[in-house]
Amino acid sequence: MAQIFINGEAHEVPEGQMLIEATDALGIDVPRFCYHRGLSVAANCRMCLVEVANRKTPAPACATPVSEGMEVQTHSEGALEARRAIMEFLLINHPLDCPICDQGGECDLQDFALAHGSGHSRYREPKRAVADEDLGPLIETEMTRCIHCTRCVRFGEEVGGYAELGATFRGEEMEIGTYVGRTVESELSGNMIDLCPVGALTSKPYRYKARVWEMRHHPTICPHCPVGCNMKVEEVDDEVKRVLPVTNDAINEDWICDKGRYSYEAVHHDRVAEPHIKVGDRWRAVSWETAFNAALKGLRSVGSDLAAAVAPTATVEEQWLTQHLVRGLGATDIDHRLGLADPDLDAGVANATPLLGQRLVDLEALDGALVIGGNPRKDQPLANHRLRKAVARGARVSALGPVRYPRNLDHFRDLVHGPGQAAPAVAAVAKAVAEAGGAGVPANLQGADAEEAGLDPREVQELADSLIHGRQTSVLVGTLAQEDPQAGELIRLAHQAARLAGAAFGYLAAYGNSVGAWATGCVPHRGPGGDPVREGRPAAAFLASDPRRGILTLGCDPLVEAADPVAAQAAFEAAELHVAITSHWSATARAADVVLPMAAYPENEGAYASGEGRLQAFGPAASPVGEARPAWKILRVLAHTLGVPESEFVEVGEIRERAEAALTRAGIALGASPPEPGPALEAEPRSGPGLLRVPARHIYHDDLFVRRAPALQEQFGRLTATISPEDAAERGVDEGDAVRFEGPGGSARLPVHLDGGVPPGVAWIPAGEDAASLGPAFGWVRLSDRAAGRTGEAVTADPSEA
Amino acid sequence: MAGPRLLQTWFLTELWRGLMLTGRNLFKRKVTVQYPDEYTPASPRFRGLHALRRYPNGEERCIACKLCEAVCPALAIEIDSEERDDGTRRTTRYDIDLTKCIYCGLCEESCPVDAIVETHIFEFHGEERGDLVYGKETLLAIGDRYESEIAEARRKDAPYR
Repeated sequence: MAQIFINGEAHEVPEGQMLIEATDALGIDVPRFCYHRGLSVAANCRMCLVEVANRKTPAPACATPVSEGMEVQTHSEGALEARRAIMEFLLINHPLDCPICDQGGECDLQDFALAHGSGHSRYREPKRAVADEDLGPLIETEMTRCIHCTRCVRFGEEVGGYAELGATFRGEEMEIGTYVGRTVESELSGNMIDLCPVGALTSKPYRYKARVWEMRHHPTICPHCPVGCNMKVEEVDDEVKRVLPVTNDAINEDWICDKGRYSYEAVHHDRVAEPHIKVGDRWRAVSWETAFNAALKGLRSVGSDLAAAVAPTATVEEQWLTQHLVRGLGATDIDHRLGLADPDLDAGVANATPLLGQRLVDLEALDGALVIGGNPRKDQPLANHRLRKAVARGARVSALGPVRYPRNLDHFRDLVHGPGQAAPAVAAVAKAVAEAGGAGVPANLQGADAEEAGLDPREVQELADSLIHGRQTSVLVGTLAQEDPQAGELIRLAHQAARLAGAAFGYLAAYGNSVGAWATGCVPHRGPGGDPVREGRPAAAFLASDPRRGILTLGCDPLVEAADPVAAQAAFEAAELHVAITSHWSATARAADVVLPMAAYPENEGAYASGEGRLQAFGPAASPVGEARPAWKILRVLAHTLGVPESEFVEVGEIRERAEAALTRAGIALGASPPEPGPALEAEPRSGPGLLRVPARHIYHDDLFVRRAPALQEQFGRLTATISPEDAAERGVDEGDAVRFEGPGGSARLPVHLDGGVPPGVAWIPAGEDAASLGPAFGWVRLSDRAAGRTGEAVTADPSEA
Repeated sequence: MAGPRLLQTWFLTELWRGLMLTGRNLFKRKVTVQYPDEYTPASPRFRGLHALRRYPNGEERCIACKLCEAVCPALAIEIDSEERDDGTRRTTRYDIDLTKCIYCGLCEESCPVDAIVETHIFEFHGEERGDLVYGKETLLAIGDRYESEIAEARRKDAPYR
């Protein structure tokens, strides 16, 4: 600690800190444009000038380390005069168009011009004008307003992981741009808007929609991924206008990903505004009473022959209540893991509650980590950000998966196993860890062979070493691996590898409330809190070959999200009754008999259990559109009317009490380790006549809510099939060609992208609307013979083709 | 008062003095304005009915900055904005509730582009509830119709702004 004097008062501050960090901690106001606590120090705006005793010139507080006995004046005449001069320079070229600028009202330059500016301009010469950049559908630019603080540039390099924006030329000629006219594609790009102290970078979907002073703020929790970022929804007259991050150093720091930031647009698109029933082939909008009567009549007639698919993005209250309803009716089939392709997971692993096994901040402190079958950069962007920070500190983070994803951090080893060899590859790693540990190879790993799994034994060995020799290491099972047909065996082996290496074991869950869904009993074999129940069958069964007479879907779209959408279609057709509780129209809603409109997440209240085991509650930010109602109210009426005991809930809090109790019984706590997997059954090897499909989802095509957000869909473009250049050359296919793929369920025409990260024999076709017709997500696909003679035809978005 | 009380009583002096006042005023210049046939002169700063102005090329001035909405002490103004096809910031709705308005002129004062102005018109009425909520089209039409008067009033007041 060093003693320094700020404005005459003595303060104890940590040595080596920059002056601005000390003043920030003490709550002393020092204006700044370029300094941000999450970024490196550039000291190029000079707005934070302060007077330091015994220095002739004012010093920038952001680049002046504190030293013992330092005497600083932050608001002396000299400091204020220096800032006034800086403001005058900055305002020379900045346009005075605050009234039309979206930043107006929350603009640092505007505020500081008022606080530190001189009030009149001596500048009479022409102002500089800079051409705007097209950065894609998410970020709007007005580069004339740029004051060259380079926060966006530094953010791209230091947090985003890609230098997407850069500064060209110098001095007055300096321009911020993408160098080569590309759009910004980082999944964290929206944070540049928050960082920009002026109106140079603003949100495109929010453009000119509202002014900051008229909006009301409502704190909320992001439903999309298990990080559970803290956000606020801003609304005017009940209309959601935008979403911004709320700083929480334990979770999302100052950032959120673009999915969380822009998905709010879905609130206004494709919503189910009224209850609907299907009469013949036609939809009829009806009153709640009529719709309830139809649903109740159907539910009474199917009785216990009912299955329920619950969205993993539903709140714990909705999930608890759904299983309460379904089990109260005597039914057993309930599941939230629509994409799970391993039907034996429950029999083997038994409890795969996808806890992270550590806190998010612990990821930052890791020395070594292995991510199996997942792409945290796109699946859990802010967990990936913690891993990036660990790598920056020198951690050795490796990845093992079916394809090599475009990453934004330097992996120690980025291994790609052979097609369909997920479990054998993990076995090879576990064996290498056992060998390196010197404690002998367990019997079940004796037969593991790296080369057979398509891996380089030397690299596997190096990876194993990195896991053993770190002080704090972790093995994380990624999103894709949790749904793999070999998931049970894979999870068991990953856990074994972690145990052998002395590493923490955890999951990177797929959705915002996957943990909550497990704990509240939205799985067929475990009740709330893991209570024993009459065992049902997983979604892989009841949404496929062996359907029930009645199906209830809550907030999900199995016709796109199921492990086999084509089989799910058949199951829906076979069912007598399909009640869909949904916020948006979807393939599933259209296939239903009764559609009950529910509130979307900004209109909902409830709580999500995050991957690190944190239960975070949030309230509604707006009223539900039209006649929509929060799902817990709909479920409550259904349960109560159908005579399910203990269903007289008046407030969501009463349901939360029960859900929370279930979470506690299930051992969900901050940083809790996931339960030990049981002995997994041997997985069947995957094979097929063509390319094996890897269905890793696209970040902007993940859940129903995101799929209805226009700007994100524009950024997403179209579902593409990524294949290896070798396979493409063999079949005479070029980048961008529209090719008809045939799968076990049917065919789909998709544009092709070539990427060396995809090994031969594999086709990376994300699960999604355009790929649903192919059938099993983890199936095989064949390039259709018709497409083999390269046509080069234009890619059209024709739904009838897909 | 001259003379004893009796004389005043007998000669009706109070009456004559009263009639003299009446007589003087009978021949004085008249100040009564025969409204609605006549009007008093109004200051160029008169704050009457609102209008939205256009530029000479026909483009509406308002840029939907919403400063008038924010400054309005009676919360009489409501604005919705959007990005127009040509990329400019424009209103989709500009409602003034003239029954809420207190004609303080702050909207006019705050407008950075002189779009919302208060005109010399003070004779307007509504026959049904809601008639006095004027929308964007109405306000623009008022602006179009009285642009010459509005411009003249601004010109006269310009030296004092």
